[in-house]
Amino acid sequence: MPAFTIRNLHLWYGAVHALKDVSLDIPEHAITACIGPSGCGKSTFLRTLDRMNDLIDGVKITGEVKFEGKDIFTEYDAMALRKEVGMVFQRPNPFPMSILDNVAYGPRLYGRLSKDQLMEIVERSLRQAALWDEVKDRLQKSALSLSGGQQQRLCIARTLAIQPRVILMDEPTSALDPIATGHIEELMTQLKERYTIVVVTHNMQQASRVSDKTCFFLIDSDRCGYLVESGDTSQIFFKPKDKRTEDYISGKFG
Amino acid sequence: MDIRSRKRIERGGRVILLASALVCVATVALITIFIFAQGIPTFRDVPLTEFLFSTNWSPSAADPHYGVLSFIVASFIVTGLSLLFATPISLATAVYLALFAKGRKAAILRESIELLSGIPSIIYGLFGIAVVVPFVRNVFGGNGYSLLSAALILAIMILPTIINISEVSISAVSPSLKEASVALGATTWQTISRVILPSARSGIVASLVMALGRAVGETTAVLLVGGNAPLFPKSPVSMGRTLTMNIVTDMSYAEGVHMSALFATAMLLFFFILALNLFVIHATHRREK
Amino acid sequence: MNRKTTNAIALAVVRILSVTTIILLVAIIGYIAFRGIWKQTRVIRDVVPLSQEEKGFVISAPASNQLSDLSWFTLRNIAQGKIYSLRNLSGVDSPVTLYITDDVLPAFLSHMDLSKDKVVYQNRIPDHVERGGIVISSKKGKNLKKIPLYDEVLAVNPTVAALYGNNRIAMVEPIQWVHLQEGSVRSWKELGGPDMPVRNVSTLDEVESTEGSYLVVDAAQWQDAKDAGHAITSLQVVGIESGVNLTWDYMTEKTVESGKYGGIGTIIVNTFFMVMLTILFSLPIGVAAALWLCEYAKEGKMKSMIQSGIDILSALPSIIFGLFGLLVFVQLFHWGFSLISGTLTVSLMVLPTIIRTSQEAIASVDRSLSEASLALGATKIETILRVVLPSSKRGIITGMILAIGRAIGETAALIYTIGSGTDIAHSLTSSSRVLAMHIFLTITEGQSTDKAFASALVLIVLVLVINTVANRLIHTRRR
Repeated sequence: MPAFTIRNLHLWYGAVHALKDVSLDIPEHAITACIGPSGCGKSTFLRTLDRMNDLIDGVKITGEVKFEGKDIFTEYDAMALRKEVGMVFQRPNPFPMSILDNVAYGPRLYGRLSKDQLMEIVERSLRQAALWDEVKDRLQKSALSLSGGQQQRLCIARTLAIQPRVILMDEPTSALDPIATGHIEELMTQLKERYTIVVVTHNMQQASRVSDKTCFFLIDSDRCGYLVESGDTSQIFFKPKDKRTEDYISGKFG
Repeated sequence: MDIRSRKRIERGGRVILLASALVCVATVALITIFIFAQGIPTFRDVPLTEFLFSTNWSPSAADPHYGVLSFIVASFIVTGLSLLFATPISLATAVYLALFAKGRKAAILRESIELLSGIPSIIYGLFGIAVVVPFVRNVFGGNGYSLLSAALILAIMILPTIINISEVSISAVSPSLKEASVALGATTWQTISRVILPSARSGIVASLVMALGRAVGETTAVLLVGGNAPLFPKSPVSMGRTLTMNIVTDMSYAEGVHMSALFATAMLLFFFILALNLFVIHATHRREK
Repeated sequence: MNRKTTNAIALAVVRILSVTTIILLVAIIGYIAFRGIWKQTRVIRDVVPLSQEEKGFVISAPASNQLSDLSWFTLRNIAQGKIYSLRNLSGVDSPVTLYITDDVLPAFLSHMDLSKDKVVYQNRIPDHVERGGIVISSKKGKNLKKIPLYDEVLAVNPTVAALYGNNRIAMVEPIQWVHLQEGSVRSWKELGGPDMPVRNVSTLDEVESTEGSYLVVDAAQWQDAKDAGHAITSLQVVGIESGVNLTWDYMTEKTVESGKYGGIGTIIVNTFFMVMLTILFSLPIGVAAALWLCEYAKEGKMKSMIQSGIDILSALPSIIFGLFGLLVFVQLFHWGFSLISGTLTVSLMVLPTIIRTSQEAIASVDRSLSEASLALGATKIETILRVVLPSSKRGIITGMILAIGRAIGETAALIYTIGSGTDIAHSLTSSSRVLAMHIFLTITEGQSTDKAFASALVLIVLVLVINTVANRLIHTRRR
């Protein structure tokens, strides 16, 4: 069963139509990439999946978005949804607390845990985020003392700690240097065995390297975003069905 | 006008402006000098330890004593209690204004806080006598004039100070931290209590310190409802006299050592407020680095 | 989920506590307004608050004399010429004149138990009765207010009012009076007196002979019995005198005897003087300082020293300013307690306010305007006078208004500097009270609380108006 099924999704910011008629399936235990030029609504689309758009005033959404078969707006409570669907942001945003407290933040929300239980979760999450070896001796140090790449991995560990099923990533490496980017991409590939990953990226090479499925978005003349084509990554990049897809991809590669 | 006179005006004007700017500095310096000049001679006759640590304030006795410990304790009780009462309300209002209130509601609330801060202390004193004192009398017995009454009135007076500064700090917390917390599934209150308030902590503490400074220097309102008894306050419900009340009450008839002792009390006040303000300035600079 | 309930409760608490500030504001202003407009004083009377209907005459007087009622004893003294001023009756400083028309004179004399030769009065009522006039005629005078006459006394047997151990009935409170009339008081102990059953009898003789007895009887009868030597006494009854508190007269009349009588007219004038002088001193210096900070100061020791000076000055409590003013202006300069001493003290206090708001206003003037002026060959001072100041006018005025608001409400800095004279200041060195000081002295000298509230209402309206005007200015500037 796909992790997400989206049918005829429309989104308005007040009177502005920002996304129109998006329909696609997001497969589980795979990496789905959303690509397209800036401003075409990819991030808006991503934020719909964990209902982060609820935080904005005047947002109107029609259509159907189902997570594991259940409608995320009517059958899920927003907070409960966000426990299952985690998000990593473009700029790393660790809390101004210790590394340990950052990772422990999520689990602590849901109840009291013994010191041992907590340490177990923290270690597991940091290992999965490939950060454990680098920080295991300084868990009490401030998270802000880490480098950019480390901070982003910390944010991933923080998300992993709540044991979600899906991890949404909004341009996770655009603020990082190439080496750190490489680390994150490697991490994404490891994580997809356990988690479903949806990543928005403007870096097409990254999309083609890392993802299993790709969705291509464009913006129309009314500045409204829409889904042009989606399918297996290899198919999208080497035999795109839509001419617009082909133009975009070849333009970037050249 | 020719160039020369214009240039002369330019130079003269510059001097006048600088002199005006120096007036404030000069005033602070002069205030310090004059008050200290009057206050320091006290210690020729009264040992510093007795002044600070004795509760015996009897300037008119045959063998006069000038110990202000009772007043220090009274000031502590009054300002401490007022902070205790004011902080929850202020923080709640600051959180509400910074995070929830929109449009009309926010405007009305802000306007109310502005007006509240503009009300003169004599009005608070009058209100205290007419409403707060009878209330304390009914609930706690006694005659109602007490340090508790003073603390209640003072709490209302310092609300705007805490609210304004705290609100700025809370608004300044980076939205991406809020987002991160929400994305992890936290409830609004969890985000506020675990991320936003701790991040705004230094600003909130600064606001409390500024409120403390205001509270400790308040004279009129506490004078009218505090009872003004120069005894060691045994409980918050007893009548007491703060440092400021002491200065105002005795000044009209004090002379000699008595008067110097009052100025020494003023010095104490001065030091304390200076220390508070330096603390805030230092803390702000550290934060900005 | 438990988290959700905690969340809901916590957010509800936040909302409720936030509303508290508005509630407090409304409560304070509302209470002051209520007490300022409507006075409710406790009055201790020798008569009970009951007015018989049929007397044969009607008492009326101009509303401006602020009489709410008269007791039989008081009216009798007025008629005999023993009371000649309204001062002790209603606090108004006017001489009393009694007017009695011929048609009601006999009824009046009979009711008041007086003979004509003892009474001092006029029998021709002027068309316009002056403030201190009291008119006795067959009907209420035109444009006059009817004044009830309380002419009954609570006569009691001496055993009721005697001292028993530590108890004695001091006076009968309004609620106790009601109970007594209803007949629901069993024993005098309930009213603070001896443990003796309450007996309502029907003649003064019975009052004299029966222990624990009382009778509500005509004052004239009681007075006769007393004069004849009967062993009876009376209990005082507390009444609540209500009426309009703050009046136009109060605001314009001059203050007499430290505020015991008269109004606050002179004090308001003094306050006006103080405000004008404060602005005169602090505005130029404050704006000049702000100009220096914005236009000339370079980052460095000088600038931070001056900025710190302003910050410290604004944090000092007003009592410290008061002490400084006392030492320097009152004593050192030998100006004594005077308008000038107080004004200079307050000017120093509000200086930081003016500097801060002026700084903000001047800094927000578009730099390109100054550049254009300098590019045309103007000097910096000329640019300031011709371009910068005019553009920052509004912000500077706002600062001035805020400073006025602060100055008007100030007490602690003025207690030992400005003096307490109640006349209009005739020179800079006269001792002159201002409004906030007057309220303070009214309270501490134990004068009428009602007057304190009336003055407080005037003060709070002034302050609110000033602050609202300043706020509106700030907000329109931002748009």
